[in-house]
Order: sequence, then structure tokens, then C-alpha cells
Amino acid sequence: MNDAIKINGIEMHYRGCDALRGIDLSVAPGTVMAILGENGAGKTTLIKIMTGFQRPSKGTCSILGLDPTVSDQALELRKRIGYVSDSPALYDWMTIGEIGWFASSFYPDGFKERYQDFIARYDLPAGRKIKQLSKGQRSKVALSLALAHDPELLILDEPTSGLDPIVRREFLESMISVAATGRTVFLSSHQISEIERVADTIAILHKGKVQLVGPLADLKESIALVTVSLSDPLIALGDLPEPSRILAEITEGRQKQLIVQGDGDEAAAYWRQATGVLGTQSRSASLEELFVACTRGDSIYKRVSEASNPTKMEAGRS
Amino acid sequence: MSSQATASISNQASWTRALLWKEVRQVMPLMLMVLGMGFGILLLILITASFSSTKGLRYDNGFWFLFLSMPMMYATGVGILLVGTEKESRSMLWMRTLPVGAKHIAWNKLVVALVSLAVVWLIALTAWALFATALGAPLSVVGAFFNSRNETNGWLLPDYLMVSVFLCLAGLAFAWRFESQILSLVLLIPAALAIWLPSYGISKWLDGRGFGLARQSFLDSGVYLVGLTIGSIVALVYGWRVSQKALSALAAPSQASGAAVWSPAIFGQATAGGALSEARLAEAWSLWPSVTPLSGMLWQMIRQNGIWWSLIGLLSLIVLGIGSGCDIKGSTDPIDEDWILKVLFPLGFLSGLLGVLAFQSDGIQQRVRFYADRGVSPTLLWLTRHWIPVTIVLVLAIARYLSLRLAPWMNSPWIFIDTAAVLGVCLAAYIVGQWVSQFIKSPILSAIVLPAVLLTNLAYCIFTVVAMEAPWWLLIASFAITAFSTWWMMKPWMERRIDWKFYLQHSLFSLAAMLIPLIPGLWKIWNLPTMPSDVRANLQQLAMKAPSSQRMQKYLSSNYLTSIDKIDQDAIPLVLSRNEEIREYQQGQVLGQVVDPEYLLANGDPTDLLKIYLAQLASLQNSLMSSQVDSKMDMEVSLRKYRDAMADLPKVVTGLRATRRLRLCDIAEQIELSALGHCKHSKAREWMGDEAYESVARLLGDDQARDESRRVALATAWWEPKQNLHTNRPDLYFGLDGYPTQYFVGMDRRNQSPSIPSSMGVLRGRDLYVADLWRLLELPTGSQQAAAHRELIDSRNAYASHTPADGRFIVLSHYPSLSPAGTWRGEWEVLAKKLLTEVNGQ
Repeated sequence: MNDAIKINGIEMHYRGCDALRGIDLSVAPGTVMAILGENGAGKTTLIKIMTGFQRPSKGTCSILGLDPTVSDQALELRKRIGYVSDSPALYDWMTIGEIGWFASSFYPDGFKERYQDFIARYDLPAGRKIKQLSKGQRSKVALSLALAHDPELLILDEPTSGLDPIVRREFLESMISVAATGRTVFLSSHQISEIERVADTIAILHKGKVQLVGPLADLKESIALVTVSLSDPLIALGDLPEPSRILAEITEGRQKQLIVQGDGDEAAAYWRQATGVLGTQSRSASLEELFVACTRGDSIYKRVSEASNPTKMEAGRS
Repeated sequence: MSSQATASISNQASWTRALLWKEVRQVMPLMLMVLGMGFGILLLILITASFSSTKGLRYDNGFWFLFLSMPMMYATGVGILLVGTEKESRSMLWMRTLPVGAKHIAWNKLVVALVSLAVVWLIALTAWALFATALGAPLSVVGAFFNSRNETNGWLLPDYLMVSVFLCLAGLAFAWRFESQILSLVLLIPAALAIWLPSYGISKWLDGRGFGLARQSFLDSGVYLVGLTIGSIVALVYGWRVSQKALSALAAPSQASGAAVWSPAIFGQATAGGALSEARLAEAWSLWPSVTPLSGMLWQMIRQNGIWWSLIGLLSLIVLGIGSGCDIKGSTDPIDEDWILKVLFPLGFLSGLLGVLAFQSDGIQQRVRFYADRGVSPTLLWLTRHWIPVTIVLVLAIARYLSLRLAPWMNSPWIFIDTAAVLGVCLAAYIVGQWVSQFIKSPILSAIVLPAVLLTNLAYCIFTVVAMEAPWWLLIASFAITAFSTWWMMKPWMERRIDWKFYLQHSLFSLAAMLIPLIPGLWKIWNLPTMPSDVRANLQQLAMKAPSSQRMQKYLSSNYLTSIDKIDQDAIPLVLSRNEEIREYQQGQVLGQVVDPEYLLANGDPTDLLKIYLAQLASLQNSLMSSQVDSKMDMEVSLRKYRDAMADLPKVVTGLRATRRLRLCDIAEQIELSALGHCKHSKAREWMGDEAYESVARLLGDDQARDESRRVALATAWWEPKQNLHTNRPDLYFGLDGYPTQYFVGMDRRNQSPSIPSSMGVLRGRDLYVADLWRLLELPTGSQQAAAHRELIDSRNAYASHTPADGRFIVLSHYPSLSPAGTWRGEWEVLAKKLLTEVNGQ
């Protein structure tokens, strides 16, 4: 089966800044792919390239078999996807109902009814003007518009920003059901706890490069947090034997926390034998810890760059 | 002072500086745009005028209006820009979160608005003073725009200063009060009228005259000034109060009133009314039928711009009503000024506003991204933005046509021409407006600069048609490109990829639109023949060796012609008696004075004095020839005078040649020609005496010296005007030492135009004529080639007037000589050489 999203070697260079430095990603259809990154990591830039709003400096991109860098194909693509940007543009003088009716003229039949369902679900007053809505309500309207035409692919940039917890939960559940019907979802977010609930595959973006990508379940299984207590904070720990590897290392006083790819217990046992080690502990790393480890300091980048390839695992198939 | 107070003051100073810096940064684009447009139009006018062959620029050609318009345009927009832009971008909300009081925010904006306005005034007035002075205006005239002593100019400057202050303050007040910047801008019109109309009425009541933009008595100025001052104070107070209210916490709306902000919705459901109308709307939309994307987009445009379209349409109909009596076919002139001012200009401006609305309303708050995010076709979007406004323009044209049909004085052909002109102007203005709308992001900036952009386009169209001889239909191509450019740039505009590439592409389109009408004129200039480079080099070298230090004096009218244009024995006595009258009028011995070239030059046109000189010589000769001498004493006196005059003749000729002036050298040759005629008389040697006779013969036979002086005079005449462009004498520039070029380059005066290609043609023609004369001097005297080349040169002269070659023509034609070098390589030179040979042989 062809990938819904295929990105090869995408680079984006601005004057004085390299927003993306070689992104390779593949997303199978019917999956929920989440991209995590801190502010300025390049998430929105990547999404703009995927939706045809920005041409990359280098690399190729295929979304639903279409090349978004080609003008005609970009327009065709946007008709087939549901896209919600980080700051959705709406005609604020229209009411919620009017904008739905207006948008329905661009899509096949059924849009209006589905839109009506969504705004009812999100408890939005159809007769109110958009300029009178709160930020969260505007987000709901934008989401409803994006979902109403039942697109093959949803691309969402920070979709739950501004949403209350109940709606956030409902939205996430709807993402799961969307994926279950064979639709693909690609979203960027900071909300790690939400990502853990819905994402099949995650990618962690840091300084324009994908630090880590893979099915969430596999990542969780294969990544462990090992805590090593040392008699002397200056003691350096040796590298782990293959196939395990250290992804990140954070030192706090006489304690080192290492994010390890591989068996955490084995790694803990290995270091216990080292000189100066007072004790070790191991547990599965949470996604948040993984994210922090991937994005904080130079340790991960240094380690990853020494390895032949960044850690990459095949996208799982549902 | 306590440290806390000191810290507080230094904090206040630092954020005051920061606030001022921010406000100044905000107004800079408007300032630069306004000044740039104003000086750009001025430059265009200067370029056109520098090539014009008419009288050239004058300081009182209405330039003051251009310099005045810059601060007035700035005043119209600065207040609205300072407040409106912040409201639109919501940065005002953020400002209010800072620990800065509402008073300080409002105060800083007020100060920056007024001070920046003062700066623009200073720049405009300084530029005006420099410009007017450079064009030769005396200081009192430069100040005429400032404070005239002329009763009919009143206190123009103080009035316009106060108008700008009023507009600035009123703009600020409206911008604080209303959300819509366009509305704030439009309200300035009734606000200005609210001051002007009563002032006009009072003034008319007081002195029965009323006043206008450029003419007003001191009383009128005073009344208007008082009105403006009161208006400004009201605007200031009102604006301050509204600003403080806007920057404070909003009051809670009462339950009964429903929506806090009234928003008119003629074309949709009314939204004022609270929960009940919301519920109605909530039900209504779901029952609306599905529509096509085209219909949906048209609905969106109508809902969004309907009110503005209606307003513009209404104003246009009012203009048509007012202008129904003004049409293209006036009483005597084909183009009635009223038609232009009351019909074309206002309709053009309103059509331009329609154009500005085309894209600006979607650009606000990036609304158009709604379409971009959904992959809507840019072409479809472009069409729907223009569909209805263009229809409005067409309807206006039809309305104009119908109104003209009702006019009993209008003829059929003129009705069509008038309607076509109105339609053309409106469409052109609309196209310019929609270009501005896409090019300039800010709606308020685009509305403010629209008049300047329209005027610039108008000036450029006139420039291309009048100055560059562009066919009018090429302008259609120009405007078509401008319209096309917005379609081409639709995708990046929709996607808000407004970066340097966007502006570069737009600029390239504009450049293409500007260049296309220039092509025919430039092609014509490109194909004009040029002077051979070797001749150019020789002339330049010769001219620069010792440039002439004497300038031509102003010409006097030759109202005392003393000559006849052909030999007429019966007319000689009349000529002689006229000579005597003029000689008495001259009060002195003309012969003696004429010897001194300085005297000749100091007395205006030397041609007339020399005519008298030659006539005197002829008179003396005649008195010797005829038997009218009464006594031996008279004969001796006449003989002595004649000999002295002829003895001095070489000095006159040499002196004239030494001036290096072509015109004087030509006169010198006329004298030589006349002298040849004297020498040909059988008793010439007897009357002149051997010494004088031989001296004259040597002068006449020295063709080398003559040719040398001709070359120098030709080079000087060709070179000197190129150095004198600043004298603002186009006739000097185009002529050859005062000889009007158009006469000797074969141009029919009726076909002359002040266009650049035509002027370049005249200049090149002048160069070619000079090159031909140079080549003539390279050919030997008396040769067939010289005669043939002479014929060729003469064939180009509209008024060839060289003297016949037999040397008997001893008086000058009473028509001024219109072409230079009329005696060069004439047969008389052969006769002169023969004379010298005879003299040397004896």
C-alpha cells in the first residue's frame, strides 16, 4: 500500500536560519502520526511545505500521491485534505452557520449535514458571529470545517490549542475513529499526554531534524530511563554494548539519568558493575521524558550524529 | 528628589522614548510614500518639460499645488494610520497590557502625528522654495504661496496649514471612535465640509464673493481660519475623550440592547437584537439551498462590500447628476474643463476606490487564507472579486450614456465619444485601484495613496501620449497588463506569501506596463540618424579650444528696415531717403560706430545696424554714381567718406569674425558680398583709392581665413547650447546661434510637437545640418561637388535664402535670415578669388 505521506530529504533554509535540515518521514494510510517539537523546531514549516504553502529549499514530498510543490497539485491536494493551521483564517463577519453554508459550496454533498453535527457536538451557537467567539470556539469552528468534508487526510497544526479538556478529549476520540475508518491524521502538538492517547506513530523534531521516529508502542518498549547514582559526579560512564545505545544523558549532581534504547534492566546491570557506581534503577521512559531528552542539550545530538543513522523504525501498520 | 521618584522619571523617560520610536516607525511608510509620490510626479514633469520646445518651465505653472498636496495627503492619513493599524493588528490590546497609562499612549500618538506633519510641511515648503528659486522666481514670489501681499491670495499658507492640522486631528478622533479605518477616512469628507461650507457661507454673506482653493481675500481667509481653528479644537477635545474611553475598560452592555456594537447588515440577517435573532439565524442557514462555489463567493463579496459598493454607486450617480450639464462637446473648445473636473476626475476617483475594495476587504486579518486553505482556484477568486465592481462601472457608463441622450444639445457621435471616455477613465482607474489593493497590504495606506497613484498614472499617460508620441490605444495594453498582474499574483497573495519576490514580480509587471507605451517613441529616437563621430570630434575639439565669451543679446524687433529684396531702380530714392531718416534717428555717425563690434553687440541686434551700414555704403556709392552732386565740394566730401568707409570695411569683417558667433560671421559675409559688389563697379578703384581697393580685394580673396572663421563659428554655435541648458531657453538649445533649427532641418512648423522624439529629431537634425556644413567646407570652392552639396543642404531649408552669386545684390533681404551659412560656397567666392588674382596681377 502506498504511503499517504512521503517526505524525502526536505530542507528549508532561510537567511540566517535553517528551519529544516533533512527530514525523512513516511506515514502509512489509516494512521495517526504526531509530530512533536519545541517552539521553533520546524513543525509549522514542515506542515506548510506539506500543504503547498511553502516550497522547500531541497527535497521531495508526496501527499496522497500529489506533489504539493506543483501549483495545480497543491490546489487539488487542499481540496482533498482537511487542514487547520496554527491560526485559522475565518471571515469574522459571518456567523458560524453562514460560514458552514459558505464552505459547503466548495465540497461535495453531505458537508452541511456533517458540519451541523460537529457544531452541535461542540456546542457552538450557529447564529453567532465569528468575531464574537472565544479563541477556543474559533478553533472548534475551524476543526468542524476541516472535518465536515470527510477528507482522506487531516493535517492539523496544534489543533487542541485553546480547547477545553472535555472538547479536547472528544476531539481526540474522534481522531481515533477517523483513523479507524482508514483516514490518515497528521498533527503537530505540544500536548504529550494527548499524543500518547491517540498517536500510532510519533516523530520528534529538534532543530530542524527528526531525532526520533517510530510507532509509539515500540518506542515505549524499547526506550528506558536508567538512573545511575555515582560516588563522584565526575565519573564518566562507558558506552553500552550493542545493540543498546544511549540516546540522552542528563547529569544532576551525583546522579545521571540516561535515556537508553534497548533493555533498561540490562543497561542498569551493566553499569552497576562500573567503578564508582553506587546504584542503578531502570524503568520505561515516558514520552515526555523522551521528548525532553531528545530536545534538551547537545547530548542526544552528539550521540546521534556519531551513530551511522538516526534512530529510525519502520512505521507500524494497523 | 527621592530615588523612587527618580527611578519613576527615568522609567517614564525610557518608555516615552520607546513609545515615540514605535509611533515614528509606524508613520514612516506613509511619509515616505507621500513624499516619494509627490517628488516622483515632479520628476516626471521636469523630464517632460526639459525636452519641450515651448517656453519651458515657469514657477507659476501651478507647481505649488503639487508641493501642497504632499502634506495634505499625509495629514489625511496619519491619524487614521496611527490608531487604525494598531486596532486592526490587535497590537492595541497588547499595548494596554503594558504598564503605560492611557493618557501616555494617546498623548504620544497625538505628538507624533502633529510633529511628523510639521516635518512633511517643512520638507514640502523647503522643496518649493528651492524649486521656485531655481526657476528664477524672486523671493517675493516664492513667498506668494506663503503670504501674499496680493489681495486675491489671502493667507493661503496659514489656511492650508490649519486644514492639515484639522484633518490630522479629525482623523485621529475618528480612528479612536470607529473600528473601520476606511469609514474613518471617508468621514473626513463631511467633517471638512462641515467647516468649509459655513465658512464659505459667512464669507459670502460678508463680502458677497466667497472663496476658492487658490483665490481668497484676507477676509475670506480669516473666516476660514477661525472655522478651522474651532474645528481643530473640537476634534482635539473629542478625540482625546474618545481615546481615553477606548483605552479604558469597556462598560458591560445592558441586557435590553443585545449586541454591544451595531453592525449594519443590509444584505443579510440583522444581528442586533440578541438571543432571539441568533436563534433565528441558527435555524435559517441550514435551510439555505446548496450553491456553487461561484455563487458562494459572490454572496461573500456582496455581504462584505455591499454597503461600500452602494455608497460609491450612489456618489457616482450624484456626480453624474451634477455633471449632466458638462460634456465633451463644449461651446467652442472640444474639451470642456468642467467635464474633466466635475465628471472624469470624481468618477475616476470613485472607480479607483472600487478597485481598492476588490482585494483589501479580503486582505484584512488574512481572511483570504480561508480560500487558500481550501484550494479554491485563484482565477475563480480573482473573477469574483472583480465581477460586481466592473459591472458597477459598466452601469455608470450606461447611466452616463442615457443622461447624454436626454440632452438636446448633444450630437450622436459625441455621445459615444463622451461615454467611451468616461468608461475608459473609470475602468483605468479601477484597474489602478485593484493593483494598489493587492500591492499595498494596509487598507488605510492604499486608500490614502490612491489619489496620488491615480494622478501619477494620469500624468504618465499624458507623458506617454504627448511627450513620447505613444498611440492612445497602447495605453489599453498597459492597463491590461496591470489587470493581468493581479491575476498572476493571485496565488501568492491568497497564501499571504507577501515577500520580496512578490513585490519584485509585481514591480516587473508594472515596469512592463510602463515601458510598452514608450516603445514607439523610443524606436523613433533609436532610428534617428546621428552625426558622424569624426565630425563630432573635430567640432568638439575646435569649440573647446577658445570658447566664445560673448553672449547674444535679446533681439530687437527690426522696425526700421532699410532695404529692398531685389534691385528696383525706382525704389532706390525711397530707400535712400529712409536711410537718411534712420541715420538721423541714430544720432551719430553710424559708419564710425559700426566699425566697433562691441558697439554692435551692445546695441541689441546688430543686423539692423549693419543693414544701415550697408545702406550707407550704397548711398555713398550712389551719390558718386549719379549726377546729383551739386558741387565739387559735395563730391569731395562724398568721396572721402566713401574711401574711409571702404578702408574700414576689412576691420568690420575681421572684427565680426573674431566674435566666433555664427550669426555675426554670416553678417560679415553679407558685408563681403556687398563689398564685392562695390569692387565690381568700373570706377571702384578710383573711388576707393588703391590702398582701400586692394585691402578689400585681399580680404575677399582670402578664402582660407574665411573658411577658418566659418569652422570656428560653426563649432561654437553647435557646442555652446549644449553647455547652456540651465538658461531655460529652449530656442537656444534647439537653435544654432539663434537660427531656429526647425527651419533648416526641413520640418514643417505646423507638424511640430513638444514631444521628446520630435525634439530629439530636431536636435539630431541640427547635428546633421552642422555635419553637412562641415563637409561643405571640406569641398573646394567652385567645385561641382561643392555646388551639389550646397543644393542638398538648401533642399532641407524651409526658407532657403542665400544670396544670388553675381555680387550685384548689395542690400540685405528685409526678412530675417532663417538659416545659417547662406553664403557658404556661393559662386561669389569664385568671383572674389578672381578679383584678387586681378589685383595681384596688376
